Amino acid sequence: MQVSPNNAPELIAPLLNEATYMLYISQGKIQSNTLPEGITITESTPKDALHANFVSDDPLVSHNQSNHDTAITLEVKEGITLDAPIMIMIDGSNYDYTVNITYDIHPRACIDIHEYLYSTSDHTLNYLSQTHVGEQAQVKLIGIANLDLMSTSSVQRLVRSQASSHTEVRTAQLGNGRTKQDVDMDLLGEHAYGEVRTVAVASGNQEVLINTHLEHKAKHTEGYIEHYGVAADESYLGFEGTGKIHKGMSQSNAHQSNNGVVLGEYARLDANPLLLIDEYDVEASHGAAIGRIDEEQLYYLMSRGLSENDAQRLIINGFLAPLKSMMENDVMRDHIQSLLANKTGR
Amino acid sequence: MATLEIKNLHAKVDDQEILKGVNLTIEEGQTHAIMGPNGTGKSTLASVIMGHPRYDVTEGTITLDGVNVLDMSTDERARAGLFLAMQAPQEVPGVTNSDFIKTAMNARLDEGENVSLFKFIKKFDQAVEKLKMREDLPHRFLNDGFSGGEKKRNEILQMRMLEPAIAILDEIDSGLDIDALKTVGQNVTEMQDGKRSFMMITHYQRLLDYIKADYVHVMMQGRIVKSGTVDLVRSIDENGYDWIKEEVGIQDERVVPQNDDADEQTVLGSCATREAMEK
Repeated sequence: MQVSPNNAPELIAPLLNEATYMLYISQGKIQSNTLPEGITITESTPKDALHANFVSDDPLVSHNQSNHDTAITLEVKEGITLDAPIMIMIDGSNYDYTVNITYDIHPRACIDIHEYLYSTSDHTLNYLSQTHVGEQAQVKLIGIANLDLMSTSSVQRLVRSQASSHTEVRTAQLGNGRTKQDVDMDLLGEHAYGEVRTVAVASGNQEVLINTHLEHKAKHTEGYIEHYGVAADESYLGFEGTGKIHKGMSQSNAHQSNNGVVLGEYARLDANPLLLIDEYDVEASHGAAIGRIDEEQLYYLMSRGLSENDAQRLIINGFLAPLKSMMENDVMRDHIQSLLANKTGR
Repeated sequence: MATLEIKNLHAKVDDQEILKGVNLTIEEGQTHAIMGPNGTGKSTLASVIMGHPRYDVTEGTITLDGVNVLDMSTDERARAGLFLAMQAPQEVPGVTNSDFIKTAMNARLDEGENVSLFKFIKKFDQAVEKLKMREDLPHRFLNDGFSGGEKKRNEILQMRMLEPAIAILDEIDSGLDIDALKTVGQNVTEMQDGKRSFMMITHYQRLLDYIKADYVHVMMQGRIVKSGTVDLVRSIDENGYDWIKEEVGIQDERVVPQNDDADEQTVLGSCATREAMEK
């Protein structure tokens, strides 16, 4: 059956209808697309030359690169600037499948991509995206995952950034399924800027692993890793962040921060920030702050009449403020807030 | 609006008794000032009335129009009409002032009801102007990066917005310069409408130049040892506390007796509590 935005599942239909440009993948194939001029779509893996950039020693990555049910390459022409983000909606319900999307962003293009991964069944979704950011291109890649309680998923995003490009990756794990998320970014050209910001909320007895790997392979590169997380109930949330500056890549900056709130007695949150530096002339920092909700803050808010739940909700929402930058429109904002309210059960 | 009655109140923190039998009745429309040297339990009294989780009440009662306050959680006390302007307001990054106060106002309405956005903004803007605060206050995070004086004014702004029946102001004058003190004084005076009651904790007589008090009480050793009118303040201002100590037969006025070298301690915050915890 053909699925259009209008008969898409109730939860995601408004998001699709709100999107100016979108690509909707369900049941393992493209169901509809309203991509603008300047962006070409091919249903295949990238050409060999481009593919060479994404060779990885991660067995799961190589597996997903060669075994996939859907492979799409989106080519964004040189110098294109879009007036609205492109929404990539992937519904992983009812089938086990692997989706592989390559974004080939040519020099000086300026584009926002908004990926939404969704499922309502106990199937496995493997998602691999490969983004090639051309010289001086500006890319904002937002990835939100809302996957079913019984599902298992691996979400991998590889980013390869050329000289003077600017890439911001912002991801949110707001589903209930077992999830492993990897972001692997290489700054390949001088003066490339990369930022990976992740928000993850784990609840129930969910297990969520977030790996972020950012490598500086050129001089004068700048990289930021930020992890924000909440672990509630009996869940486990793990942050692994690595910033690596290769030998000779002087005048580079690598920074990392981890912030976590643990709710309840049995939840667990780990953060392992790593810096691997093989060059003297650099700036680098890393840190982690994990704790429970501050009792004094709670008391202060409650002394104004807020119930404990309301006070906690405000503090958590405030803590997860980086999510705000992922709310492109009111529909998305309401959507994210309701996901969050479900997750923290408050 | 309401009457607050405190009878024989005893409270402890970490097994150290701080309040040792406080008796105080604040009738509707009255303003009471609580004075006294550091470490005599003034701030503890305020915190116990508001229900700070750190304190245990071991004896005595607090009632609001006859209803037992000690049975209520902190948020229930606030919704019942109590308000505490704190000595050291918390910073809560990520939560904007307007979201916070809107949520607090909505918490006072029936479920599903919300304050009108238009009325809210109007009232907020007016309060910002009256307190001479920055116009972007609604969008700033709650007390985050505020100066000491801004925090204090923000407490009074919250009081204006929430319109409590009984407001407790814990050293609202500390850290304020003379202009800010004047502004705060004007705002509090404006809210003294003959129905709302106030309990002001202060070290300095100068606060009473800006806010008129009906009664003045002096606390020592975790109790109120002397009560009077504003004349009492003048005597304290001129002669210090020693004559009161002599009158009631007290040598060390603090809740937790100190040895001599402890005099060098900086004295800010809930001192009686801090001293008890350090012991």
